[in-house]
Amino acid sequence: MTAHIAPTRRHLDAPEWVHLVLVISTLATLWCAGYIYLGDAIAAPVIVAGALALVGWRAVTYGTVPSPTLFPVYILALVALQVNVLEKWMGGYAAMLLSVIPDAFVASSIVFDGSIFVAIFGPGAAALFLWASLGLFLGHPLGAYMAWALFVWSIFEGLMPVALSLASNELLYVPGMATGVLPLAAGVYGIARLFRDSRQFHAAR
Amino acid sequence: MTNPSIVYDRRTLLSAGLALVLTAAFAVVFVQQAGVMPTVIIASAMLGGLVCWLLTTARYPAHPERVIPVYAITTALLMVHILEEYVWDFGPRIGALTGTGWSQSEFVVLFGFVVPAFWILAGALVYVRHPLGNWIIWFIWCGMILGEPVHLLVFPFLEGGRYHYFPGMWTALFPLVAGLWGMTLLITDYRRDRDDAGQRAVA
Repeated sequence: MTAHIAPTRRHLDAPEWVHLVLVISTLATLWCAGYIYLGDAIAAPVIVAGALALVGWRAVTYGTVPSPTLFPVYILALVALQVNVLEKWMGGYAAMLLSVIPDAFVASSIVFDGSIFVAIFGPGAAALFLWASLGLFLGHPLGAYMAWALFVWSIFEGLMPVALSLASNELLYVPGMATGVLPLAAGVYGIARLFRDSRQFHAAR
Repeated sequence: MTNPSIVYDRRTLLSAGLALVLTAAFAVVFVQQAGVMPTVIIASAMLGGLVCWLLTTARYPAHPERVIPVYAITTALLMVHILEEYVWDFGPRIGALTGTGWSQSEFVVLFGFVVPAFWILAGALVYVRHPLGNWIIWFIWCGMILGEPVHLLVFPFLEGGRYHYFPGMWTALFPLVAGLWGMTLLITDYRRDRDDAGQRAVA
């Protein structure tokens, strides 16, 4: 005997832990793909930022509903990030990475140059984070994770030109230095807002 | 007697002026890089958006809670579309068609970063109900209707030969769907706000 299921529109809402496992699975897959095709120099910062965002999300905002007031902060951080990526691309950041740390790109499977860099961190990243902004505005748990990811990654993007300059032993100008303060400030402010919103959420319950 | 329904506040008029300046600046740069045909399409979307905005949400700003989700879907799909255009050399192919020699790097600067910066920023501006954000979302959604079908209906024919792939083709119509959805929302909400304001005035 079959159960009667009424013909009506249904909504699927995964339990909270599924989102956590999904984020871990995605980061693990990205780690493998990034290691194979882009090398550690590109993959490691992305994975470390993603993992730190996971820690922040789990420790601070997990189980809370992100405030819609975070949306404009998120959007401004994304614009700041894109301005910084534009400076990096125009200044030849990818070529500088290849020259300062050539050993990180020697594997035959690695394909990395300025055109790959701009595709991933320009329109590619913008598409991903804009899609995630929908989740943030709608109060979806993954939207909160992606807000952490954007803000942590903004801090990384702001600091990496300085780190690369130090690694070169010559204190060179590295593309991204001039506008690095924009994503850095947006990222720090965004994380402060995530902490504040989490406190307010718990205080209101 | 002045009809109050067509009086705009100072911030709206300044935003309209800025919209005209941005349209003119964009057209001057773009016509030199990409030629007349693409410039007409995008400048028409900017001016069409300006007219639609002045007739609707300039008077009753869009409701962020209704508009922002569709805006986020549209802009995300639009960036995927731009990624497809970039990977398969949309800029140089258009440059070859129009004879301007539009380069890949010029395409990346303008449509990978500069114009998207305004599109992305519009989300925050709509959230705070700023007039400029209301114009930009009209521009984006008018652009979807004017610009995206061209990838399937015009560009492949301009290159001659058998109907073939043109960069951006596979992802062109999806932001169009979101654009139609967004415009419908804006018009529906505007009409309701206008009728509500009319009823309050009568009462």
